[in-house]
Amino acid sequence: MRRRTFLKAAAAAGLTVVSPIATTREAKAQAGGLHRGPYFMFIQADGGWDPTSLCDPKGDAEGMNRYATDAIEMAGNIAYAPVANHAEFFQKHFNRLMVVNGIDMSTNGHEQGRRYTWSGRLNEGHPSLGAMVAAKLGPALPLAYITNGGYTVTNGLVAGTQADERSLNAFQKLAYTNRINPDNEGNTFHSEFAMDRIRQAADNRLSDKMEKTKLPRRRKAMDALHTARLGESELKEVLGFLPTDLNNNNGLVRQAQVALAAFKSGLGISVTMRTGGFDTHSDHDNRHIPRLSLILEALDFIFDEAERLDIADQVFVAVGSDFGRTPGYNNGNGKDHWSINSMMLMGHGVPGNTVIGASDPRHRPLTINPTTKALDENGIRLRPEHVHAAIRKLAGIERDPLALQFPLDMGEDINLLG
Amino acid sequence: MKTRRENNMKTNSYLMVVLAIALSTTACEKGVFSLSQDGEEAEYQLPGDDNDTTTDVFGDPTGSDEGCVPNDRFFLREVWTPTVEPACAACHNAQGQAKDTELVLYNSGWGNYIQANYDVMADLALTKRDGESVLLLKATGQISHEGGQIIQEGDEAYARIEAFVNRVDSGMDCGAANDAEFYQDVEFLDGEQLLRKATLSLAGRVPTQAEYDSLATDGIDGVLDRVMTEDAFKARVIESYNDVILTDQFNRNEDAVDLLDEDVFPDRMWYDDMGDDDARNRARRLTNEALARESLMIYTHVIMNDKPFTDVLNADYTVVNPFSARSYGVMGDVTFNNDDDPNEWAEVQVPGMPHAGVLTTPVWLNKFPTTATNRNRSRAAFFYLYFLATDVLKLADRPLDPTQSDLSNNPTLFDSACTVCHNVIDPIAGAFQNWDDEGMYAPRDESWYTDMLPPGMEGSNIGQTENPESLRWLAARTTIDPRFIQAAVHTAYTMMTGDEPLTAPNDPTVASYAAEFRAYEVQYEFFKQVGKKFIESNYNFKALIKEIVKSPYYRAANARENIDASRQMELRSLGTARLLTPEMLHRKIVATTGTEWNVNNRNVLLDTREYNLLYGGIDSVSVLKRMEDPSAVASAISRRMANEVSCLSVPADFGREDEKVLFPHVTMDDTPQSNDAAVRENIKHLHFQLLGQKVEESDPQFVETYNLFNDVWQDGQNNDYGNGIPGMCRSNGVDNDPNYTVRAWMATVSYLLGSYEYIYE
Repeated sequence: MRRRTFLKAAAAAGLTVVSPIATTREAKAQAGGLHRGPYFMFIQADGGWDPTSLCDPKGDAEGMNRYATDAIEMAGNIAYAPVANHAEFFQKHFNRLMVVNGIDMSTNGHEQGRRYTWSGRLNEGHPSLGAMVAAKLGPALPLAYITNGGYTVTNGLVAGTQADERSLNAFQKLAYTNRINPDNEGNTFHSEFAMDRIRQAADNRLSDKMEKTKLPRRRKAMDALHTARLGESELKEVLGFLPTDLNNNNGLVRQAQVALAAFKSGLGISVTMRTGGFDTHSDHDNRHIPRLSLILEALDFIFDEAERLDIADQVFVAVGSDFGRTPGYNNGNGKDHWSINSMMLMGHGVPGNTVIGASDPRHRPLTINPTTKALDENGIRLRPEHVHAAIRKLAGIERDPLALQFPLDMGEDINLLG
Repeated sequence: MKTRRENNMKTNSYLMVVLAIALSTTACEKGVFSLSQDGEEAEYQLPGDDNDTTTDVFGDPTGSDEGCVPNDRFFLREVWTPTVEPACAACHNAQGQAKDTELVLYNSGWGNYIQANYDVMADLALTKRDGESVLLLKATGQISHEGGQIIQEGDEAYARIEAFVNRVDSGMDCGAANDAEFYQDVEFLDGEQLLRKATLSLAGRVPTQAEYDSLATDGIDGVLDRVMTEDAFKARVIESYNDVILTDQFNRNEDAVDLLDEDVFPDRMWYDDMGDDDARNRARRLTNEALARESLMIYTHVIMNDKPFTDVLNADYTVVNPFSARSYGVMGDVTFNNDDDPNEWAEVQVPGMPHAGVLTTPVWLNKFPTTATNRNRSRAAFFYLYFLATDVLKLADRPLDPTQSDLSNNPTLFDSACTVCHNVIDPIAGAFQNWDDEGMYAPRDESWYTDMLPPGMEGSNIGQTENPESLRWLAARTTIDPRFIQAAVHTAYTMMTGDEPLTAPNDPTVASYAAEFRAYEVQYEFFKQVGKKFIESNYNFKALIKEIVKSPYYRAANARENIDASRQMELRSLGTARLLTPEMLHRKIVATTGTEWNVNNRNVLLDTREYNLLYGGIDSVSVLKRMEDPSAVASAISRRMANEVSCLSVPADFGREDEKVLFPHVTMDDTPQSNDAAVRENIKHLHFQLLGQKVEESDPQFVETYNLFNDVWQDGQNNDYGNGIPGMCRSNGVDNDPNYTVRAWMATVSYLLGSYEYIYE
């Protein structure tokens, strides 16, 4: 649809309530620019991970872990659990890593925790951070927000697209919808004239429909279809960057490969990825720690691959989970739900080799001074809102009307990444 | 912790804000909280009420002019929202300072919290001291009240509660509210449009002419009753309930077969001894599918056979087909017409199993696994969500704080921060005690944990003699609970509209609050009345479907004039606008074009290796929610669908020897020059066949389509594209297109298939 026609239709029915960001989308679409960073990757360790087996290590002093407390290792300023292949990761990446410990999730519920970690709000109502960032920085891009699991609520701000290894074959056909065989330019369903004429008639039809439609639900749906169509023709841009080899056994690595290709093509802004298996109420160490290793392996891959694609300085990664796990082990050698959590932030805009916040030996949260960020018994507790405030600031959206629709209830801002 | 004075100040401030809004709003004539003490206002009427003054055979969706304000609606609008929730609920909840009083209120996490709170308040209203209601005496601080004086005689809040007390005292009520005014500027689908929409949605086909004709005599209820006997409706039920319980997670490999304990069901892999590889693989696949779909097939069995929906929990049987019957070892207990037909299902009792509908199926139990420390609590929480419309995790208003809990003193039993949820779920967790962490019936040797509340439900305990059949006990209790009806109504509503029920707005300071509240209370009333129809039908799920189809939410087509922001907020649930799921789009393509979208023998919309997930499908494992808005990728899929399906269907239809689906009025030789009338007639046909639209030649939509056809055809005359149709599109002997009409029709059909009206419901 011609954009002027759309704007006329939108104005005719007043989309301000139905689609508050319509003008934002239009502005970005009219600018027509590809996104050149920063790129945002959000990784959900689904089920509630155990920070004490990763970046908030306690050891066996109070029965918290099976490894010895005095075996806890350091990479720069960052302590980590001396298990599995953790040393390899932390020693290699500590300079781009910030650990945030002692985050109070205020919940033991999976759904609530997942939502709180990635929307910044314990209750329902806020979109995922990935959706918000994509909605601000380029909602009309065809792969603006890649949703491969985890908390992906968009509140209608932007359309999420699943894009993992299963999508690769499809992308070829979808980039060239008029080619019978995507590799054969001359073998088409319709002549070039006919295809252009179909598009023109379709745009006219949708525009006409929008002018006449007044029910908000339908207007919103048409707006979403219009936005989707704007990005449709740009899909071919990503083809040159898609990997041909996607055989890694680690699903996160495969998801990251596709996402990074989308970023490199300029068509992607953010991605949410998920890996599960962390809800280890029994046989905790044997089942849980290998899952942590998969995440560290994926993080290592992300930055190696980003370097290869020459976008490493623009890639920001946040890793989090529903909540933490109880201090010590239950009768089945498992760990149950515990509302104290950690997050790991890496890459673009992150002051590396840094730990903010802490927990006591029984993994209860300690408070910090909001100005100095040092531990302070008269200070405040870290909450997901503080992390979200920092990431919003990093994305440059903290004062944007879009973000202000979804306020963060956190009291003092601690300028986490400042 | 805040002092009582601080709490009172906060409450008073809140009341002032609410009052200010109530007095200043212009969003509706009487304000958001119009004070109605006599309850006689003829303001509300349910949609589709029996007393409707019908304007056509389907009934007036806005209802008649008669009506009144039922007690719960009065309570919601005039008492709970403006007064009790802001002034009382902070203390009078399960974890608040007043948690041990007679007045413990529920929040919106509780299924029918409005009615539940009404009941609690009404009991207190009827309790008198010296002729005065204890409710008023407490709130005014005239008798002992830990919260002190909350309201005073003569103020707005007092008037509201006094009106409530008077209402309860008088015993007055009325059946339904009149919401006709709410829909005054809404346009609705006519009967034929509604029938087409519902039939496509429910059975994946367009209505026959006989069905259109029978509307006048049978009404839409009669036509839909027949539509809902078809196999396609069965598929729709399976999809819809899998969207809820997601047990198709096990519908792959041998995942469902593996759930059966080999010691209990030694024949679970009965097919292993089959000599023929193909036969064995087929049997393995069909057996796993049958076991994976056991819960969904109980829903389907109950609904398709017009059994009371309560049977999904109360059924003392499960359902099997010949394949799963062999795994369960019950082939001797059931008779099939064809022992090799996977579509033949029958009721059966597995020996030794105290069935309780879906609750005792291995896939349901394994969807929500348990552990030694979880002790079925996850099962209990999902039980509440699915069958009692209650989100347990929303019940706590106060967040957890591990530093405040005394972990040494069993917090799930004694800490109010924990008991607010655990007091609710733990008894039901106990009701699952006889089913182990692998979903097998395995009664415990020892009694249930003594450090939890005893097995039961909301204050009622399961007796010792009932214990072996504890889930039957739970099912019987649950299916007489009004929240069970509410859960069914909500599921049916989402199934038909693709939308979630509204929730009550909670911030009266936002500008849209009044409109949001109005939308919520009207929908609340609608659901309540649909629930009554459900009961009257003896819990027939199809009755729910029919009520929703006839409702304004499903029938709304447009507004008569431009509407302002506030009105948009009020009407935001009206008129479906669902991007068709891949499954629904597949059925629509087949129904309207006579062609499947198959490429290389794969249905690309249904196959997760192709477009299924990219177009918003779910895999019940990692992708659990359907896409709401199309992405650019989904848009490209719909574009490719339009191109490929037009390619597959247009030449095929011209070559069809039987009745043509798409081109009954033209031949390949008819051009705008040689037979323009036929071309025009067929364009009208395509609009109706594909989009359900009856267009006249003066209609701009007709003109747009005609011009497209004509332009493409003319372009074919002016350029040499050759005679050949693209190889992939050749079908039924139609290989060449000397007049360039086939390709012009392909362009025309592609245009219509890609339109909003086609890919959305």
